[in-house]
Amino acid sequence: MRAEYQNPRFPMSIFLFVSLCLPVLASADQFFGQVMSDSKTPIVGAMVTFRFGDPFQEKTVFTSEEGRYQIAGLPGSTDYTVRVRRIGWHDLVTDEVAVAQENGALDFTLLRHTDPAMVAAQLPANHWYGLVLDRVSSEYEREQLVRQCTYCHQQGNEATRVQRPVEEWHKVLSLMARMGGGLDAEFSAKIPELFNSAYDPKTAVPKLTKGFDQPGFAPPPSEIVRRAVIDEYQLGGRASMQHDMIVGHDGIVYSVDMATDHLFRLDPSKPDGARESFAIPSGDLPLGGFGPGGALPSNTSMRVGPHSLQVGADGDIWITLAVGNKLARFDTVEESFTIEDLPGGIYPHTLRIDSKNRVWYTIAVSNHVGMFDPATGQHEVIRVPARSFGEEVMLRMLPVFLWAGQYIDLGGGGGEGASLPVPYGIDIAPDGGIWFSQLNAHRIGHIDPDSFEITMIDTPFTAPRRMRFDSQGKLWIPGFSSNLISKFDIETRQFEHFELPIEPLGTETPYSLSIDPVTDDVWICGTNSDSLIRFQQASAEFTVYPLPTMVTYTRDIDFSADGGVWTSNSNAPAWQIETGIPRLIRLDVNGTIDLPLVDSVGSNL
Amino acid sequence: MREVAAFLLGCVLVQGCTDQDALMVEQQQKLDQQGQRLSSILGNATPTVSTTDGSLTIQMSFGSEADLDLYVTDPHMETVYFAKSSTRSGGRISKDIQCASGSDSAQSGRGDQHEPRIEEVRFDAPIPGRYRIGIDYPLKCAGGEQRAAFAVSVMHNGEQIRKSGSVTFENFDVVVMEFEI
Ligand code: HEC
Repeated sequence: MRAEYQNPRFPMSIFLFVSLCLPVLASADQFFGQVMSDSKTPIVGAMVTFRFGDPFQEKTVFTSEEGRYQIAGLPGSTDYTVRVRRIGWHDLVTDEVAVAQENGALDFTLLRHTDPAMVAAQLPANHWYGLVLDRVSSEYEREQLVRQCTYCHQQGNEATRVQRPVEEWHKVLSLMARMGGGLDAEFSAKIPELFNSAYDPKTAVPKLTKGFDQPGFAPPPSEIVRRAVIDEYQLGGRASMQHDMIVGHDGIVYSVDMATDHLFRLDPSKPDGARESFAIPSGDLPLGGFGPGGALPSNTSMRVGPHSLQVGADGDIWITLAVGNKLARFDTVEESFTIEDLPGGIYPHTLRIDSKNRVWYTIAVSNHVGMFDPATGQHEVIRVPARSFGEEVMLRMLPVFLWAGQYIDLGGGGGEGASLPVPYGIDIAPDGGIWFSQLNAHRIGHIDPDSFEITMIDTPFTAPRRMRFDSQGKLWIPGFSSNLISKFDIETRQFEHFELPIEPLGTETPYSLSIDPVTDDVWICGTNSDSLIRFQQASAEFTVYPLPTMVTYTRDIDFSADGGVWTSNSNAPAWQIETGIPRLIRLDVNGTIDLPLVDSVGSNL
Repeated sequence: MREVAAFLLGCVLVQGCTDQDALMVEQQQKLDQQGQRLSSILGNATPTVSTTDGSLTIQMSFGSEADLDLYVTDPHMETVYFAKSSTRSGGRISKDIQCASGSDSAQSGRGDQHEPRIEEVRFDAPIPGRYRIGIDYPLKCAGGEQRAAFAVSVMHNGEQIRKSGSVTFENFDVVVMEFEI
């Protein structure tokens, strides 16, 4: 045994659930078959998932009306672990079947759950969280709870829906508050009773499984949804927080791991979904960097905290280093970083690059928007209006407080405390105007890109988070604590809302949205419901795509040229995720994206 | 670092530094002594913990004036602590020792004010690699001050490593110690 004080390693290696899943030896690169109940009726909308590789990759397809599935593009000559999953049925994993057909025929029989508690446990977190929200009658408290408790991890997932002694709750809430999830004292005092009563299995399970034996319960996804193919690539380790991801010009996907200060790269065109990672230089910064005090997660190694990333015109990757208070530029060819110090502000957050290649970024804690022009080296730090004179004074004093090391509620690790306005999402209008949201102030703002003049506009909904322009110049904004998306017309200044259809209604927390550059479809993070949600503008229709892994917490969406819709599982702590490790996720809406051709020894043909 | 900065600011703005200085030295001595006493408690605890069966035991002892929390992070970077009582690698926490007056202490027996107050994490078959110990100070108990002393011990393969120190109220010291097995 050695006691040491060096940096720990971050193994990419996986930790298989050996007790559940024994590999089936199979040589086919495609499979087909039928999923039936033990009484020989087809199971519609079951997810059939093949896992392979190291670090692993999972490919999921849905079963049809006749319970049939077909999966192609697997690497062949490898071991697979197969899981078949449908709410209401026991998960089936491959050690429960004894089939390995050369031609790829593989049928499954699922067993019906008889214990309602097990059915309730299969439901996404938002169903459970709905039980809590139902009991909060004050709109002010409900909004606070949603905004402050669901921005790092889901609420209502298996790890959080636990009944706890009152003292234990107080300590959990103390820790969450110091990390940035603060509630006001009066409301905080009600939380133990609120959560313990809502999550009492005696009342929760019957409510959640009401009508379990009727057809309307947990209906299968529609025929349109069932065409989709979902690829998930395990990325990082159990301390990872894959905050944001982006698709580069060459189709290569990048993700920043805020908790381990790494940039990850995935090449989906490689048969093994090749993954690499690069350590972002952190100099001699301490754990937590220049972050605003409070508490850090127990397993963190964050010193610079890479938060968001964008691709520049030259293909370089620009990254905000939130607690390092810097920008990083990653040269994808040289595979090296250049670090750009910032002249002011605290907590550079989300960024966008304008047509003049200038980097615009929100600065969350100190209430600024920053601009850096790499061509000239010009920096601007633009002060965003506060909500009141008192807040203005407080914000101006922040650097002094920080220097003195006093604890004030700055919003801890996430830089998102209830008491600060928090400039958050940012996007650039077709006319070059800079638009950003102020999350806790429930406002959006416009910055003139030349004069830097600011105009603020109240949003008629709470918690405007990460927003995007569509090709028509309309600004789309998710209301994180208001269960809606809103379309804002920058000419007429009118908002038009669309309520999210996630059941039970009102339980979703859309962290961000993104616009498909080809179709103008709005894609929304189903952050608390393990889903991606599509909104088609012409028909004003929503389509909900369930994602296969329990506790899939999404914060960002991007698109590849082949039509892939990409996101990442960003739940922090990662240990709450079903396998304990984050993933990059690609949704192939019609299941038609060309797959890399793979020969029998696994090399690219 | 931050405490030093706060202290210097205090010196400049409020008063001459000499009194403060003496007070800080005195407080530190008190904490050191307490830490050593807590550490010797853990030294004495060794005979009650088997260290030769391949298991790994991590203990933290602290006084009745503070509610401290032990966090142990395994080589896969998964943590066991009071709000998450086990890890996939088999780590388990014994019980959460709280303030004596804890409102639910009567039923749970958690508010144990009698020393030694020890929180323990045990791995019956620990995976090899680097482990991390963190300590949080979320609540003051009766008589609690701004800083509280602790001692930790790591027992594995007949060996024991001990360390004592202090933590600040509402501060989570995420890396009190790291070790490798
Ligand atoms: C800034 C991020 C953040 C926010 C906001 C947040 N949490 Fe947490 N939460 C965490 C982290 C990280 C952990 C794990 C603790 C650790 O690493 O030491 C955690 C752990 C928990 C746990 C224990 C389960 C576990 O897996 O460890 C509960 C319960 C919980 N949070 C509830 C809440 C509630 C209720 C709120 C709102 C008051 C909240 N969280 C807000 C980050 C957050």
